[in-house]
Amino acid sequence: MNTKKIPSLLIVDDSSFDVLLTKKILEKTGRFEHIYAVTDGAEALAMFQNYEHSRRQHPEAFPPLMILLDINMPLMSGFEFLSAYARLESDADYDPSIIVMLTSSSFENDRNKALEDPLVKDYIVKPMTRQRALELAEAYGM
Amino acid sequence: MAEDKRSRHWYKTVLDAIPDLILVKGNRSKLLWANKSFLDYYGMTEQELEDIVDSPHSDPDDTVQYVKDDHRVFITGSVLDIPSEPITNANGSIGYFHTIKAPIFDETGNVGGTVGVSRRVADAEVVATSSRDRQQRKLQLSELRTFVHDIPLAVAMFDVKLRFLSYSQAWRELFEYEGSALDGEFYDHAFEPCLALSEPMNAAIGGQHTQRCEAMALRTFTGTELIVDVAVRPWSMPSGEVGGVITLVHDVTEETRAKRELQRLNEELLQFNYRVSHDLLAPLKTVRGFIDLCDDELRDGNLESVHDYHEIMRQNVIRLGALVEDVLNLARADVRDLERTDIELGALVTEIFQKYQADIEKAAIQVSHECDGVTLHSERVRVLQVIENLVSNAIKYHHPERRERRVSVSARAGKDGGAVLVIRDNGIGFDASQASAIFEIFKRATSKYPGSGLGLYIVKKHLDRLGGSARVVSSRDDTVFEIVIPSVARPQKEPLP
Repeated sequence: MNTKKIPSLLIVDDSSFDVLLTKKILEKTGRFEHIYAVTDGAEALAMFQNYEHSRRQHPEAFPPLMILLDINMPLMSGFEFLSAYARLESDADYDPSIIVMLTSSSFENDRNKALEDPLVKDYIVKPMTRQRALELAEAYGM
Repeated sequence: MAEDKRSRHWYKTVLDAIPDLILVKGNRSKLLWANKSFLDYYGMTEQELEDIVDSPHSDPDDTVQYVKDDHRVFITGSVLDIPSEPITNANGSIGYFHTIKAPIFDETGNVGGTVGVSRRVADAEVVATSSRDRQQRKLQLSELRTFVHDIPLAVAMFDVKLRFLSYSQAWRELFEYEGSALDGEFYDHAFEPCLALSEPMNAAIGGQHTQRCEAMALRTFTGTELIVDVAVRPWSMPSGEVGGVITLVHDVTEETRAKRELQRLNEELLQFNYRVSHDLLAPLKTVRGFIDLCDDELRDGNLESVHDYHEIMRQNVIRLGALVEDVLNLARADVRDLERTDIELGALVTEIFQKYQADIEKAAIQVSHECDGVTLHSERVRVLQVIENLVSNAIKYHHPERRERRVSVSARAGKDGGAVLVIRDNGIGFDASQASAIFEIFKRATSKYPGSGLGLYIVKKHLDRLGGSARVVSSRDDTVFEIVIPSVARPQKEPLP
């Protein structure tokens, strides 16, 4: 574990209510320090494509240690983001973020498809709870 | 070399001096050249002979045999020795000839033609056997032709060069063919562009087994598009050799379209199921999350946060309610035959404006209509839903930065008692590229406002049921929906007895 890494987290979700909810719950655990959000897969991808710019925007928190990724989003879905991110990340010299799906889809197809992706470490059906947030923090040393 | 200088005339003189019948044929068994003995026997000139498959006085059943023999020489590239074959002369009497058919190779080494040399058979026994064979062959061919001709299916019979030998009335009808008789015509002359069968038919002849093709596109002579299944079965001469094919074309347009439509609907249903489950669950899960969060905040005494979350939960419940209503409306759109009444459009639009009065006031929208006096006899539930969805969209998607916000509805009488309605607003509109997609299920022009993505799809479903149509144009200033709703005939009153 790289001790320099701060427990930063990026939420990718088009529902502003869910972003607020997740953020509040994560904050209340006291285990996550920098939590920021974007509303679409395309926006998240752009952050990685404009790497230097994003580092300036989030000096200590980019790239995030963890990404909480929704599936159904209007411009670019979570799955589309995953494949684009994998292509981008394979050429990059930074460590990949830990990706955890956070979605309202409890469909088996979605779950299986997500967990087959080597970048995806966990699959959480919304809503985020204190319990799940603490489990994540434990599992990934946050 | 002296030979090189010998003229065409020199060769012709030699060939014409030979008492045997000599005949040269090109591709597709077409006659190219014959010597004098042949021309005399056939009673035709060289010009008359050119580019036909056989003389008109020849027995067509014998021609089938010649074509088959030519085909064999073409395919195998080897010499064929026919001990005895019937040839009809100009007077209609039949002579029996021993024929040698040999391939003529072109420069590339392919068979470019055939030459046949026929000498009259003197042996009475050979002639008698040959005559019996001929009768048998004629009988079989005649039976097959009659069978194909009378069968109530679209069937045609061809020789090995794909010339029509017989075809059913149903064949003509299926292809909507009104032209002259087809006997002796090559399939590809007129029919190949309608239905590409030359390849499977040649494959059936070459491979000597049945070929089946499913879901082929057939375009009839009058341009009707059909989907057909085809079976091509080789038929054999009494000698056992393949004489050609019998081709059955089965019209499966209705079944195939129904099947494809069913598949499409199935996929649509799956997609719908997924989306609706997701869209119904998402706000519920959000509310559940906030209920838990409220518990925490209450424990911590943060009443202010609880108030904020309460408002979020309210909005989510409203969103959920709207979605459930849309799903129910969509289910209603699929109901057949709703009650038909006389509809006064002015009153209908006023009713809709009243329903949305609170939203209209909140967004300070000027609404107006010019629909009074326009009536229509139709299914009221559908007409109401169509106009209501368009008007409520116009209200919902008002332009927040415009000082004057307008929504207007006008109606005029259309064709045959129908009506044309125009719903116009100066709201946020949408990009022209989305105009054709916005009536599709779950297609939304914006994600800035919440919505089910079902509203315009419901409009389309109702209009489909009503036999109506919708057109939309969105510019920077205006979004205009024009819808045409036909009137259905009012039920006639029973005449008094």
